[in-house]
Amino acid sequence: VSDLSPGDVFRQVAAALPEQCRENLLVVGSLAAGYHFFRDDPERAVRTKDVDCVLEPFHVAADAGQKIANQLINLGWHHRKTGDFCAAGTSETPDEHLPAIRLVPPGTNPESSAQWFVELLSVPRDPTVPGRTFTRVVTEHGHYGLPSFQFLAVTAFEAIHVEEIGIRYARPEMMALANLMAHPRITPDPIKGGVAGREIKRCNKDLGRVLALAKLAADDDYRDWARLWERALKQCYQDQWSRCANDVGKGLRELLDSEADLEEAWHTCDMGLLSGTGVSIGALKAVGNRLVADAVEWLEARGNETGEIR
Amino acid sequence: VYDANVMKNSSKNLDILENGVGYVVKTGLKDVRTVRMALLDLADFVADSPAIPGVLVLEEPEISGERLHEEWDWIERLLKSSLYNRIGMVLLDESRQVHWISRALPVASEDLEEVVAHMREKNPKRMRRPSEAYLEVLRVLLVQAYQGNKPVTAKWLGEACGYSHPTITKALERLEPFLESRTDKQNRFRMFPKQEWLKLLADADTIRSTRRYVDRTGNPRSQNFLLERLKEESGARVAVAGVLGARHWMPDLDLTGAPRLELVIHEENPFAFQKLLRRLDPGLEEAERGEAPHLVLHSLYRSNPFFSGPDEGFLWADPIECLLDLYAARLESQADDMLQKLMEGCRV
Repeated sequence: VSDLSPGDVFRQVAAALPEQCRENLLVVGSLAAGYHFFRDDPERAVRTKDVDCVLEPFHVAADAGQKIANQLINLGWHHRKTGDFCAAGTSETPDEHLPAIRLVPPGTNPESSAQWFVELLSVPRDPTVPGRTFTRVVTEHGHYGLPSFQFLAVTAFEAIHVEEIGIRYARPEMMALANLMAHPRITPDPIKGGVAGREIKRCNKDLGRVLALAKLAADDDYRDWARLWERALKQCYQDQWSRCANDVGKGLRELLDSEADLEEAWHTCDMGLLSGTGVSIGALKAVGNRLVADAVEWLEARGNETGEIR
Repeated sequence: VYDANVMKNSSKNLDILENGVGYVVKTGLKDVRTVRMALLDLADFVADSPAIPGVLVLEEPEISGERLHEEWDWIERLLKSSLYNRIGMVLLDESRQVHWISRALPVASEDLEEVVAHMREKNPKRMRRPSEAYLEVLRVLLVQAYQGNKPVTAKWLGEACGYSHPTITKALERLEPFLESRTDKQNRFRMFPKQEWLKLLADADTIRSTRRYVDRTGNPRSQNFLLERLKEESGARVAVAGVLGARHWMPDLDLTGAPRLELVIHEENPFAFQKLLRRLDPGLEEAERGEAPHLVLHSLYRSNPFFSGPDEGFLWADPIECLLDLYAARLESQADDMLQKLMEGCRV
């Protein structure tokens, strides 16, 4: 895990991208959040190693992924050589066993597990299909896969364009929505490698991210988030949007009701986006309560008004 | 400590389990039949729960001690000693003294107070003490004095306060030294009831079920935001009090800014507090003693809240509520200015 300057990484990634692919890429995850909230503060860094970049729309993702990977490698970027699937696949490799495109910047050690890297992902072909899927990308160096998760679709909704750099990043509200939708309940699946020496449930890290985004946004009125969520759900899930709306707050409510899970979520925030802020578990819970009362309940009510929630 | 399992297993009308004792709490009881029913409920409970004694707590009953002793004798005659030895009946009087009607059970008086406070929190209106009636009458008469209104009858006070005629009569007797002597049975102050006012100030938190809330998120919502949220609560019987309310009644009051937002709720529903809090800011937490609150909520239980408005989109709490808030916020000099106006209104 590295302390990254979001502005510097944004600029470095943007400069390396093929011009024609820029509009198809958006940065998501903690670096996007860091750029949104700390870009004017040179003292603030983001503790992460993966720079997640989502390619959209789906029908151009594989082509854009191929062009981006080829160009970055030609510019001296290298495939990351740590962890599982560090070798390229072949035409024989099943899609679900293809390695992801993970590239470290020029002049860095591709075998260092601490080195930051760009990972390419894709919006899903069909956002109503649950689970993880892979889209094959054939590069000059072999076969790779673009992983996609069902709820990544919403991250692309009204992504923010950074004029001076020429790339986009996901809105914090949309990253929060994707994480909320991905975890309608607390499940025991741990994060591989844990967080700062502790075993942590994946859902607690992701739902903790929601709380961190809400805390950093420090919005008085989270109903503005919900209005955006409603439009995104309608666009991505169309006639199923109200059913999605009904699920949005379930995992978060469960988290807020469980001291142990909330503590894990707090730990990930304290080690991540909120490090150095001295945020307490109580403050995080209070922010979560605001988010539920303002945004989740508003969205649920809107869904109910349509009479489609079952 | 509340034990959900024991409570669930008991079909009896037990109010609460605290430190291994089951309690039924009755406030301002007038009816001996209710005493009998409560004792039988307790007997039924201890028969099913051999390890747990039961206590009937009577807070300021309007039944004589002698009559209560007769009721205890009745239950002793009715029950086996193995049962009546495990139940008790205790009286909490107006000065919070503990009097056992039965043989005293090993229960700390702090536990009794805690049980009563818990019940009051659950159902504040039902738990209004008879001794508070006179403070309610006092508040209403002070509102009339502040606003220069006409004298009022006991019947009018009964309707405004939601108390029976005998309770109002008793309250008026207590306030008699300060009331104008009139042949038409109309009541108003002839002088400011200073001692009663001090008692009201001392008991204001209890009788108004005052709750204070703080922000610990580091991102407190502004008062204006909370007021805008309040405006959206159409139909809610909530009035603005505190500094803003005081300024509403006395625009020339020397006050800049308001240290906290104070609201008065006039709702039957004991959960109205939580509902309002959730709408305004669910991130707020109950303040610890000594912590400066961000939001203060009070309840009004009388029938007529004497709210004014809507004006500027809000209902406004009566001037006495606002004055109590100024003193509670230690804005002494501004409170004294307002009190001066009140004292003038009390002089006939």
